[in-house]
Amino acid sequence: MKKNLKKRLKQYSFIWFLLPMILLFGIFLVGGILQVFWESMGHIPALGMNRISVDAYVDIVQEPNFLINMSFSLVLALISASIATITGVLIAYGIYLSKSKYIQVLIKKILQMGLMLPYLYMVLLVILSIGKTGFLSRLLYQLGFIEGIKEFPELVYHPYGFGIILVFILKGAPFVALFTLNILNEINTGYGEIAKTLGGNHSSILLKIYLPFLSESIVWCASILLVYQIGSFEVPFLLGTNEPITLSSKLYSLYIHSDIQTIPKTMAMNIIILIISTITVFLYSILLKTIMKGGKNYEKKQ
Amino acid sequence: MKKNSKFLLLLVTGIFVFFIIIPFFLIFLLSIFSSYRYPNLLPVGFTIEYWKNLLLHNSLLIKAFSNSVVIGLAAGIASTIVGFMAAKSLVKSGWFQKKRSLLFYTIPLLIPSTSLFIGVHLMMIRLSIANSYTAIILTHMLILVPYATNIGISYFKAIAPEIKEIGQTLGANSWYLFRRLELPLLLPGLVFSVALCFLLSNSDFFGTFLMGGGSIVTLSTLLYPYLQNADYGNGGTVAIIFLVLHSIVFYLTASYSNQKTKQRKYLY
Repeated sequence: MKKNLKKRLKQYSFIWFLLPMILLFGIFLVGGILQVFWESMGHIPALGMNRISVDAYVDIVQEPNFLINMSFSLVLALISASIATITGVLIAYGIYLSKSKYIQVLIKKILQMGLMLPYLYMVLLVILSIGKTGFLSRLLYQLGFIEGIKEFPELVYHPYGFGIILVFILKGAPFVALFTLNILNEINTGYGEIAKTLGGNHSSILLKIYLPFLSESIVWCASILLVYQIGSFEVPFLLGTNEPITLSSKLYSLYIHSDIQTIPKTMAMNIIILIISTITVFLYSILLKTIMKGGKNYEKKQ
Repeated sequence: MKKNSKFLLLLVTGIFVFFIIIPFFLIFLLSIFSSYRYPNLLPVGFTIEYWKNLLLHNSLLIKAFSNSVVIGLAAGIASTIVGFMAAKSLVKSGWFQKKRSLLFYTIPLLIPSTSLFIGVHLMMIRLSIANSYTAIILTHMLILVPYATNIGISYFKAIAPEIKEIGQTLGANSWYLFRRLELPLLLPGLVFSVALCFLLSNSDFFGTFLMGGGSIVTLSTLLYPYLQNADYGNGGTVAIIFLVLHSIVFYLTASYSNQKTKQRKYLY
C-alpha cells in the first residue's frame, strides 16, 4: 500500500512544476481581484470603513455618461479587434500564397517591426503621419489638394476615436498575421491542392478549408486583442477627446486622482470593467467561432 | 484571383510603409532638425542639441536605459523559468491538449490590463513591495508567463519521449537526463523566450509606470511625458535609442535561432 502511494506520488510529481505559476497567478491575480472587490464594497479596515454596501456600483451606473462611455469603449474595441483580425488573416494568407521568397521575407520583416513597437511609439507614428500637421496633410498641401491646415480633417483627435482605432489596427494586424502564418505553415498543403484541382479558387479555399483549421487560434488572438483594447488606457488617453472617454481611461484618472472617499467608486469601476470585458469576450469568441466554423458544416454536408 | 492577392500584398505593404517607415524616417529627422513648420514637407535647421542634451546632460537617460535592460532581463529570465516549468508539467500530463488549460495559463491576458494592474498594485502595497524593482518584475511576469509557457509547450512537445526512455534504460537519472538531453534541445526555445519577454517587458508602459510609482524610470516611461507635451524632438531621440536596443535584441535572437534550428515556429 505504501509503495503504491509512493508510486502514485511520483506519477503526479509534475504537478509541482506548475506551482510557481499557480503561486504567481494566485497571489497577484486572484488576490488582487479579491482585494479590489472588497474595497469596491466599501470594506477597507485600514481606513476605518467596515460596512459592506453596493452604493459605489449604484453611483457609477447612475452617472449620466456611463452608458455612452461604456458603449464607446466596447464599440471601439470590437471594431478595431475585428478589423485587425480580418486584415491580419488576409495578410497571412497573402504571404502564404505569394510565390516570391523575397516579398515574403520583406513583408514579414515589416510585420515584425510593427509587432516590436510598443503602443506608445505607434501613437507617435500615427500623430506624425495623419495628424493635423502630419505628413499626409503636408503632402496634400504641397501637391495642392488643400489650401491650408484648416482644410485637413481632424483624424487623430476625432470624437469617434479614429486615431485610437488606427493604432490598435496597426498593432493588432501584425500580431494576428504572424500568429496565423505560423499555423498556416503547419497545415498540410495537400488539402489546398486537392481543392484547387477540384476547381476551388483562392477565396473559397481560404473560407472553407483554412479558416476552420485556423479558427481556434484566430479566436484566441482576437480575444486577446479585444481584451487588450478594452483595458488599454494610454492610447485612448493620448489620442482621445475629453468626451466620450473610454472606461479604462476613466478608471485610470479615478485611480490616480483618488481621495479616500472615492476609493470604493474606483474599485467598483474596476470590477464593472472586468465583468463587462469578460462577457464581451465570451460572446465575441462564440460569435467568431460560429462564423468560422460555417465552412466545416459545408464539409460535413459533402 | 491571383492578381487580387498580389494587389492585396501591395496594398498592405503600402499601408505599412506609409504608417511605419515614413514616420520613422521623420522621427529620425526630427531628432536632428529643430524646426518643422507646417507646410514644409521635411524639417529644417540642422542641430545636434537634442542628442547632446539627452546623451550628456540628461542623467535620466542612462538610468532609464539601464533600468530597462535590468528589468527586461530579470523579468524575461524569471518568466521563462516559470513558464517552461509549467509547460513541462502541462506537456507531461497531456493537459496542454485541452482547451481549458489554454484558458488557465493565458488568464492574465484575458483580463483588461488596467483592471489587472490596479489589483496587482493593491497587492503590492499590501505586501509593502510597491515602488520597487521587484514589484515591476513580478507585474511583468504576470503578462509574460503565458507567452513563455506557450513557447515552452511547443518545444517540449517536439522532444520525443522515446529519447528519454532510451536514456533511462541506459541508467541516467532524471537530473542527468535534464542536463544532457532536454536542456540542449530546449536551448533555442529558452533564448527565444527570454528575448521575446525582454521586448514585451520593455514595451509595457502602464505596469511599469504604476508599480514604479514614478521613481523608477524606464525608456517607455521616459517617452510618455514627451508625447503628452508634443515634444517630438526629445521624444524622437528616446524613440530611436529604444528602437536600436530592440532591433539588436530581436535580430540577434532571430539569427541565433536560425543558426541553431530550422524550427522557426514562434519567431514572428
